[in-house]
Amino acid sequence: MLEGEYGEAIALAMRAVVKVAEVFSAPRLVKIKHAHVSGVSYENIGDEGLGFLEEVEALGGKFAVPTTINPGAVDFDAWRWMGIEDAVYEKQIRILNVFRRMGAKITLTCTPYLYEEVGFGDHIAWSESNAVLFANSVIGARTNRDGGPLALMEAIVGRAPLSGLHLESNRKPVITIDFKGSRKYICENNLFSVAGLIVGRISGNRVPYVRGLSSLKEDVDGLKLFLSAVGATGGTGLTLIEGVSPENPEAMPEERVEVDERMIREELERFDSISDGVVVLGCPHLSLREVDQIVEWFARRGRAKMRVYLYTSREVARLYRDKAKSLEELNISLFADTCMVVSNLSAYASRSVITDSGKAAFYLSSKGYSVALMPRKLILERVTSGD
Amino acid sequence: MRLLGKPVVEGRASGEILYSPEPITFFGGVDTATGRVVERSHPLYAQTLSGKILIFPHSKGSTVGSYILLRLARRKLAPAGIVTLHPDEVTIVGAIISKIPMITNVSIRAGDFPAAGRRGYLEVSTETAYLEIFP
Repeated sequence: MLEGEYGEAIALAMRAVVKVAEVFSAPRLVKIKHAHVSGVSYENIGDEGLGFLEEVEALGGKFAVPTTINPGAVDFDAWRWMGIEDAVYEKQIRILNVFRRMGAKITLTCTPYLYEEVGFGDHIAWSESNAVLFANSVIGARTNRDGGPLALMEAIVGRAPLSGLHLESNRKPVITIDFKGSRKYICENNLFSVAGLIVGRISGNRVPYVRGLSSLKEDVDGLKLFLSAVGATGGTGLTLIEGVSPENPEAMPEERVEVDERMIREELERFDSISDGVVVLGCPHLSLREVDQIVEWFARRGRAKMRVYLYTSREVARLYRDKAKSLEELNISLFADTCMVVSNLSAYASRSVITDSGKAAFYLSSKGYSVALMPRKLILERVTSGD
Repeated sequence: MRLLGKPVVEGRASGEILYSPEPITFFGGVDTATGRVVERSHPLYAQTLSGKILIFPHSKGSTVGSYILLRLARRKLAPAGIVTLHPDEVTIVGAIISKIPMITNVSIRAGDFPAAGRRGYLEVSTETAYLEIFP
């Protein structure tokens, strides 16, 4: 494969995958069942990334395993309304076409774990930190936290280095993060996003064992918010959660940090307390159930006082296509294929936002947005008319 | 002072040393138009990575980070060389596709890190991989 007898693209991809394997001292490569590729938004990868993808395709690049893709910069139905320039739309279409021709399923969502068939023990090659954390920590699948281009290369060769989180020995926790002093405060106020930002910051690249948040077990929405926030502030691809993760540690890590209420409050204070602007929900993408719940909340209570932007997958958005008028009456916009972080939010919404997502709050504030981070229920109550 | 490491991307680079005691978030943390660190709470805030020999523990944050290195490189705003203490895939693949000379697994003792403004020379080949920091 390295010599180009299977084509230039495979040789190029194999060289990169083998180099990564060497650096991580992988004994061999392992066959993967699925790949999820990030780095799809033109806003993120730019002309340079588009050029790189077209080069790979021109060399004969094709995906060897089922491959899904992360959100891009635009909603393909509502791009004009979003104020997207023609040039950006055209570049985004070019990016999609490269992926389509190489054989990807055009999913454009960061929540492949809600749709794809991936199970315990499966070796996969996923990029997109929240998806990696969910696959490893909740499903018990095995993937490293790959960069978009590495997942692309792995999808082309159908293999990943047998290293890192693909190996049992690296899936053991090395630090315990205990929420026993703050669990009540977190659960009562739904502050899982905030807890996630703290876990990511404490863990860095280490696998943490999180105690005290086992109420997340039946709460996929809470898990999404928690793990995506871990991925924003930390480098780890696996967070073992007591009572949730299928893999339990044989021994408790000696190093132990307790997170108390004060730490939670301090984390919240990093963000702005009030914000006029708009509400943005859906980082990670909302599931159908979540969209239903939010829409029903306003349907019962009346038009939202602030514009509410929801982001989801095209599978979910399709079910709402004929309800655009009633959503408009409720002051809600529902977008697919993109999100508040990878689209140019200030062009169609505001530079001042309220969100329940620690990940979105982290990235938007680093882009200079004014961001208030608060639990979803509080946001919904705040923007409900007449209160 | 000479620091030895594991070769990642072959090549040679010289430039001013820029040391970050904290991990770097490329996506959202570094501006691709200027090459500067824009994460407000970061110790390198407002400093440019361009042309520097960048030493940092590892990257963190979004996996889109590899493309940020590619964008910087194709705009001639990338670090001249990359030295990390611990390997992380986002940085490694970013350096591979951007052809930025890189070594990893370098150990620096606390208090031993290079003072601001020092220059360095990075050489990476299949035989040798080191960073020479000039006095």
